[in-house]
Amino acid sequence: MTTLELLSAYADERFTRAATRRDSGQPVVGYVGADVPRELIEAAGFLPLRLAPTVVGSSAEADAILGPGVDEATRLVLAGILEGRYPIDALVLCHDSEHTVRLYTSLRALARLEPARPLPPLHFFDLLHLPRATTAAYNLARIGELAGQLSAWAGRSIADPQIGEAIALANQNRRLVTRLDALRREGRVTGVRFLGAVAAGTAMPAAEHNELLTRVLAGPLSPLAEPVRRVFMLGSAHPSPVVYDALESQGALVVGEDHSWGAPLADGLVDETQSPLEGLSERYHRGSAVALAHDPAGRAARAAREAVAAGADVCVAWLRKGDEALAWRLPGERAALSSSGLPLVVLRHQALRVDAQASRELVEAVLQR
Amino acid sequence: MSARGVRRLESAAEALRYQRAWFAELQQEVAGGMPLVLADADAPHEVFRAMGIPYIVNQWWASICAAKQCAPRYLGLLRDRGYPDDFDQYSAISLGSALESDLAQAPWGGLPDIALFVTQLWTDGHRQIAEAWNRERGVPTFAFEKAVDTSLPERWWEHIADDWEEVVGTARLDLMTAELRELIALLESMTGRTFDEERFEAILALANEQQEWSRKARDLIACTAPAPLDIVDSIPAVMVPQWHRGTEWGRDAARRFYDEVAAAAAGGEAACPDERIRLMWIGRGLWFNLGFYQHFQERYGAVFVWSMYLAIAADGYRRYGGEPLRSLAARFAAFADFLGMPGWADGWYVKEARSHGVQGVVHLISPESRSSYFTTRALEEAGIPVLEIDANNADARTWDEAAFVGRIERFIEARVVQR
Repeated sequence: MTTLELLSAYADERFTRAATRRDSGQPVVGYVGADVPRELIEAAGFLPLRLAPTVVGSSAEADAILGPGVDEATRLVLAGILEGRYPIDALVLCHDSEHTVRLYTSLRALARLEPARPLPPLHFFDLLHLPRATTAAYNLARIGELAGQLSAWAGRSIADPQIGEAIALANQNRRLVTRLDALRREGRVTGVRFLGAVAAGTAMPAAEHNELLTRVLAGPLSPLAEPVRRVFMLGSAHPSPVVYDALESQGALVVGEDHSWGAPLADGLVDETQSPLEGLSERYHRGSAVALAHDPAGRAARAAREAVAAGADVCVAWLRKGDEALAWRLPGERAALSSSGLPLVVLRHQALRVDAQASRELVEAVLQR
Repeated sequence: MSARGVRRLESAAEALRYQRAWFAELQQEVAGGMPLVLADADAPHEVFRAMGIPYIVNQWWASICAAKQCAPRYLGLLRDRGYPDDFDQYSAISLGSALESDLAQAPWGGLPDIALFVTQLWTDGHRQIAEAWNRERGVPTFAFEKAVDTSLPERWWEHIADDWEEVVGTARLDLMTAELRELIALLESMTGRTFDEERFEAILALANEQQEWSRKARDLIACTAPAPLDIVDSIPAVMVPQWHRGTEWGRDAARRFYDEVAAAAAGGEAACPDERIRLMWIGRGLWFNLGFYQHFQERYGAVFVWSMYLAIAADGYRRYGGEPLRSLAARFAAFADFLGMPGWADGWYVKEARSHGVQGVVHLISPESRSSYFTTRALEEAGIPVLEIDANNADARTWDEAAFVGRIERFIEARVVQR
């Protein structure tokens, strides 16, 4: 098995792997949303575990609690939490989207209504994104609170040097993922493998992930067959590679994306010359592509730039049911892309689970234009 | 049934006449160069009023478009420009109306030119909609953050007027107060007008007075059976003055409404003399068909005695004490929580249902609502049956009148009458 295949396999069974670590004595803090600073969780001595949907069992209760206005991925995460399927000791949620906010507020209400229900201890990290000093000040206080809560869970204070060390490892991780992304653009790594590598990194310590990525980058990575289309993905996040696989199994290559389970996750280093909490606050507030997702015009411009840089010849806005807010971006994205000469294929109301028909429609829309 | 419903109260009719006249005058002022703000319902309008800057409430204009059956057309105009016509319609219809090229089709002569769009980011769509105003009409925007506090205050409605610092939370208040100062600076720069502190304090005092009258009206309706009026009257009677909050007219309109309710109660007048069932409508008003609410009176003696509009005026707006700008932040930093946050809203709806003697609830679910499940659950656990309806309050395209009437009738027969 190649290291890339190993990373994909790890991603596929990440919650089982995390459970094994937890059983061996490693405490785990789960988190939902890309705004949660993993490095702070690691500095506190926990394994940070980003929650993603598992498709085992029914989500009927979660669907009823959250309602159809929340996307299926989040409802499945709630179902997993309610059934205790994630091996976590505590859970941090953030304000990266309304879906995550509603997940938090529902869990909080359930914990109050049903105190006997086994739910993890919760913390809400209310990081906000307007590009103003008022928001920056608010965020800095919130990150201090998060550090305090993690310290309380850990039973010890988290010192600046520990946070600094975790930041350094996380920054190195971002550099390595970015280099892997460059290899993808060169046609040496598939989008499926790239997503798998990124997902694996959300479920293991940064140092371990760095070692594996370094091994991948040491090569050799042979060029892939010339793709029939080079696709850049916009729109909903992809916690699993199933949509990428539908395209790449038909000869396409997904060369980039602007969602928070892909390359944007590695964008933007934490400034290590600042105090750790200030550096983290700034990076997560405005200093990354994920943060930029909250700025519609900025996001559209960045997506166009990255799509061109990745050598894409088509962009796909794939919007899951429940992610209708993203549809408001489409005119801006279309305008930014058209000035770069890139066509945009829009697929709305998509399901999380891509069945055979959805796969055919996707391929037809993207590859057979 | 009549889409407008049958209105009985003079105060409701007078409010609507006032609003028309005000709007006509506003159109002339804007045509003469007056800068006009379009603001979301939960944006702090008092700041504009203190600076003599007129504003239109985004969702009020959407309700007018819906009432005039224009919302589908405006949503279609958005769709033609590549925007979704099936998400956040209530907040987006105004933008659609601004794309209207045929003013003869526009309600009340159409939306005047907007100089600034002000919003609070309580859904993922709000910032996108603000960006769309800029892209389509060159309208700059100012957005307030919608911060989430981690506390769940008990019975917030008993404490919010005076202990707002504790109920809302210092962090949120610090943030919104700072944002208010930024907004004021922006407005001063844009318009050349100055924020008048003395006028502002007078506006806050008038707004508090206005809501006290609403509170008296709400309390009287709650304890009077049969109810002297239904929500077809109370909604316009309270909401039009709400958009003129902080004026003497607004305060006086709220007092006139109370006086009329009191006179009707004293005289034994009733929306439905044969009242047998008291119903509660949770959710936004069905602007394109207010007559719907009166449909169930004849057959069942079922009266919608409660909507959130009068109740939130009574419980959600009053703020006393403290630094004035901070007290304004306290009015709005948690506003969406009162109506739609699990742990905040559900207890309030139960309290209101009990105080009004409500026997059944029709709960309009919107995709943006954070608390629908918890609200329905709290009411059902309190012994009050709930019918959930999944529909959009401003977009009539998917409204199936016969189906919804049938559902409510079956609900009344099976779960309310049989209690």
